[in-house]
Amino acid sequence: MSGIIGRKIGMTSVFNADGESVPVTVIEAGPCRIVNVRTVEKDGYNALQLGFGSKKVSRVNKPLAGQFKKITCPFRLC
Amino acid sequence: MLREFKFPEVAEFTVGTELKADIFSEGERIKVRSKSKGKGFQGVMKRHGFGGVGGTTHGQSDRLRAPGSIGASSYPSRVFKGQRMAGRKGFENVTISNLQVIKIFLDENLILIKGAVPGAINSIVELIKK
Repeated sequence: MSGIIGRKIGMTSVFNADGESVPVTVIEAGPCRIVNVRTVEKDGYNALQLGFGSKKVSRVNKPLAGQFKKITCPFRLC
Repeated sequence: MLREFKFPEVAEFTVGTELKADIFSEGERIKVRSKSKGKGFQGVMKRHGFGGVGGTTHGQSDRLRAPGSIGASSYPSRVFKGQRMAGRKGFENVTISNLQVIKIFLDENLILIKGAVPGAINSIVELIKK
């Protein structure tokens, strides 16, 4: 169930080894920075909280900014 | 943008490090979750696949795309909750399973996925390992 956050760029087509055209969606996938680690001992389940993209400092509200306290690059959310 | 993903094993991860597209491999089948395109206020034929009411003869008019009856009369004297009617369509979470990863460009952080993915261009998608 692990995963990553991305952004849809658009669609195009590529050719595979057999020369067939394959319709594909292009997705910008990551890089995602690990913002928080949830563990069974602390939270009851294992998960990673991931951040993706960036935001102007003046646009970040306090609850969201608090999530990034542990990280050195607080407001570049990637 | 913050999202949480369940990972079976988290001991090896520390806060602040980056995850990249290399958690997937080419040819792998994954799930993709995203918000579908918003379609605005739509009638029951487009929204729920209703068939519309009857034809245009015998004096009938303006009923081609109508929902028909929405319930019985004296009993229950009300419309049941959840009755499908016209309203906002789209912009809901949609998950597509079993999409194949065709190619990964790790240095450009791009993934090519076979077929269509829900949502408009620039919308946020979650790529979920099975």
